[in-house]
Amino acid sequence: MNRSRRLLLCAVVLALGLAALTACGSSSKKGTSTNGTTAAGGAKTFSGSVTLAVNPWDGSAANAAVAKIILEKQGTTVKLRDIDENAVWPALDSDTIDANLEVWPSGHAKDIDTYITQKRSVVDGGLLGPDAHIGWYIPKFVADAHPEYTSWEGLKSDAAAKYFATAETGSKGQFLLGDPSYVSYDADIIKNLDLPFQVVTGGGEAALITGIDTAFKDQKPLLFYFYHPQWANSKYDLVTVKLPDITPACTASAANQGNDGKYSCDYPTDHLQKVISAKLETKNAAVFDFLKKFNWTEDDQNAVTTYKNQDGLTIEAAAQKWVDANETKWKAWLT
Amino acid sequence: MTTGQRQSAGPDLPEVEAETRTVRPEPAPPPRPAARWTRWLAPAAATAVFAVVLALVWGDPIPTWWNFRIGPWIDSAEEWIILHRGDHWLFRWGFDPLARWLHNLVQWNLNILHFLTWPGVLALVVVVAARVSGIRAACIAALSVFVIGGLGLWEPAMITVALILVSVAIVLALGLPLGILSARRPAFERRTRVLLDAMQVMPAFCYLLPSVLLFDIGYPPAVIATVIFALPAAIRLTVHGLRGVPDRMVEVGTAHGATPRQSLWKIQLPVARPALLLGVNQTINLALGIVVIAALVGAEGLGQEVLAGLQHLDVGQAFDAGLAIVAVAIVLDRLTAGRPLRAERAFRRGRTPERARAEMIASGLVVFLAVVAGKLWSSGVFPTSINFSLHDPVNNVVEWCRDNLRNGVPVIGGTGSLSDFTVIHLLDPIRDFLVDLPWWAVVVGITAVAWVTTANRRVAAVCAIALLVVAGLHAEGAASGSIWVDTMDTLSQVLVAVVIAMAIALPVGIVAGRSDRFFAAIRPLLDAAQVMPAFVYLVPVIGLFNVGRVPGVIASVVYALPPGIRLTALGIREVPPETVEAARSTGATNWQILTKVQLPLARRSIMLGLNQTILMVLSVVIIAGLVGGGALGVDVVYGLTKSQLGLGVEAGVAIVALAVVLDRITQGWAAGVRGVGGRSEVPRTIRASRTTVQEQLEMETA
Repeated sequence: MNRSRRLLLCAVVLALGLAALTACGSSSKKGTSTNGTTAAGGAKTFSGSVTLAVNPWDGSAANAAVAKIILEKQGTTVKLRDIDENAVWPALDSDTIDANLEVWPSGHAKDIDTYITQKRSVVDGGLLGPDAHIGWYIPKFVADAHPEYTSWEGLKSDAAAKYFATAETGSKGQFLLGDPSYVSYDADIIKNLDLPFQVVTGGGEAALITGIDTAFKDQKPLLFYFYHPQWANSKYDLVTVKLPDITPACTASAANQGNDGKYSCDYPTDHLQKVISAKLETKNAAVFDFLKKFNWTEDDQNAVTTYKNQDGLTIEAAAQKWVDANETKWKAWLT
Repeated sequence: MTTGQRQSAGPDLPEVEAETRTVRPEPAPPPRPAARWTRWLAPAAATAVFAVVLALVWGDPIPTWWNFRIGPWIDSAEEWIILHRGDHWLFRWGFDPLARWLHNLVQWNLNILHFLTWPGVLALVVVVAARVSGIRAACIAALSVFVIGGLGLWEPAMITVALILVSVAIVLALGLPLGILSARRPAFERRTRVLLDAMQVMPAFCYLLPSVLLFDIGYPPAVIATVIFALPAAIRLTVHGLRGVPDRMVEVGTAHGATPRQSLWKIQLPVARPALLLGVNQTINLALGIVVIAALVGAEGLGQEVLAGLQHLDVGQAFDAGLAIVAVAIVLDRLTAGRPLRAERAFRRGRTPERARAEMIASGLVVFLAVVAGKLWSSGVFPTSINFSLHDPVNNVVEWCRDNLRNGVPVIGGTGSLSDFTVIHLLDPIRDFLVDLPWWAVVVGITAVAWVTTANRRVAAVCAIALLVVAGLHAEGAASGSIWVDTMDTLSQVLVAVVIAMAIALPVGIVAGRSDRFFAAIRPLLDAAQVMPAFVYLVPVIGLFNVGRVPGVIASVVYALPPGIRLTALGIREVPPETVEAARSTGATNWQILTKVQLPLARRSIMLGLNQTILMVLSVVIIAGLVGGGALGVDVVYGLTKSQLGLGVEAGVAIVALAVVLDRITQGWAAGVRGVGGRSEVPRTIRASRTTVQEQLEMETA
């Protein structure tokens, strides 16, 4: 029994060693082959490998998939990494991830300050192109039945409170919030505009969208926090609620993360931006330059996500379709 | 977990005595009627003084000087780490090499799995499972392997398996020595107890993002988080196993001149084997519970698939991944602690060295041939022609439920109105009551309740301290503005969830305790409910019950049901058959036997079921926060995602404090209840009590 155990142990050790060897062998082979290739076309030489972050939403996946196709055509190996948007920052700092192509700056003021301004280990990669906007939304069928609720003045009534009330909020109207980490001034807006509403935190994006889905199924009223670009905008017919125009006081308050509690306007527009690890500039200047120039419109991004969500393509195939159709656009990013 | 019956389980089976907890004095003897008022006098006087002091000195609201400043301290530590990671020696020579080492370990495991190809893995699983747990287990394991492949999730599943193997190996490497140390030095155990409690109940979210700062993204933080979460179970089950070794066995060894080392290796550890294997098994299950969260930090694997499904509200996709996680759990279960004892007996019966060697060679050959076959056949990729994804049926079922159960169900009116009812008539009144009370009244009240119901000063003192700690948390940005109010809100949700869970667990457990067939039928369901990630059923639950606190309560109930059902069933089972027979012979009806004999005798086990249920509910507070539960769950998520680590950690501390209070009180109740098997106590480690060795013993002896 003892002997057979030892035999087994030997076999396992041997197998482990073998596997490790083969693994090392194959990875080193891969390394040499990618480093050796050079670019075809374009003035610059693309080589090496780069890791891009994919955050858990379609827009982010579309950016990364398109960048991957173009870069790999030029001879750079691209690895995509699925990761939470907050865990990206330490990874950019240690250059485990080289770039994140879609950051909503409003939600990351502290990270931007820490890593870009203070530590300088991450650099601002310029704008991605699409502008994002957060706002208050109601379903279209609610807007049709009650046009007055498409503006904040209309919500300032007991009738509105009663209309949007749920068991959670009792006599007040319910305002549904999603992920608590997204920038939100809603409690302050409600307080400062004196609206008879109460914020209910859904807790996550999935909870928020399920809430919307249920509202559409039951044809029940719902007032909620939402934003675009977001895939659900094409699935549900949504209408924005008009909030007061942005005033200098609100801009000042937003600069302070709304901590003064005085925010009372519409949300500022979020200019989506790219962030790149500072080390990439010396490590791989050609890719760094490409990523800085990567810039497309919201329509471009929507095209890719629509291929995916409505035509049922994989995100890679959807990105390929866009790349095939828009050669002039992405050629400019390579120069 | 089990008691009296084990003695009769057979001479070769070690008596697995439960962990005796610390040196807490035995509860006061049952009061004599004449002296009853004295029992109340001391607690009443002490709590009255306590109340007066709190009310006068501290006043209401909680004064700002009573502040532990945990949040600000954590925040400045985080800032330091961010600025120094990468170039400080602590990172260059400490965390970075450790992270690289962990990453390589996982990668090696993954490479081996890839090298084996799927037929090789299948052959290895079958061969090992057959040796360890018998032919039937091998068949089940093989089927599970096919399920993983057939769901189209082979690749992510292998990543998850590699991650689990490394984590479990590390947990055992740390847990065994620490467990041995704790078993030998009660003082050490006593000192580490609160720490272990905290590791177990503190939401993994609280240390996941910080560990990203220390270990970077990918496998290393996932492994670290898993180790933190699963280590207490491994330590406690080791202690539990070693304490269960009968003294006379050790004494016999000593009498024959065994050194302490020999006694440990040759007597205590072998005898404690079933409990140690149970530890391995539990570690694996707990580790699987964390894979979804691990995906958040780039560890990929099956967790990533669950999250991807959740993101598009695609329940089918998330369910497939959840099913694959269950299949992985089944495979690993059959490989470790499937039916070790039965297999051992079979081995003993007909095993000669020659035969063993032949078996070994044959097994090796089978695996080798399978690997070769795998390499030749489609280069080892699982054939896509085998596909039994449940994506569409699951989505259809979910859709049907939402269309038909939300509204218009006769009598109860549908889940929507049920949800509203729960909010208006249960959650709101309890929350408002707790929140409106002055904080010192809550502290004093809970302390007094603890003292009176458990008749144990120490429990009362621990509760008071834990609640005072919560009062001293003042991190900014809490959902309702103060951690105290959020804690009361969470407490109200926990209470409602526990009541609902016990209302379901008791009847089901009673039926399961009285009918072997029913128990056998629901066991796989209970197992699956524990391993299936809560993220999978979040979307259907929100779809059925309106966004808000109710979905959180329901998710907690689903997760917390299994231990309640199991312990109730076990309690009923533990009632000696002679006692039941005696009752029957005196003409007692079935109902009378249940209410007059079985339930009273099972009370202790049911109490422990209650205890487990509470801890399970608390451990998913964070999940509840993700579906609209608000309060502490949302504080943790918000704090960590907004890089306000201080808030996240303070909310985590509050959750731990709540757990300590509720745990000590219910443990105290259980200790005070007389029932079968007087001094046995369930180690809380058996929280995810899946197919455990003990339970199998139970089944075999029953």
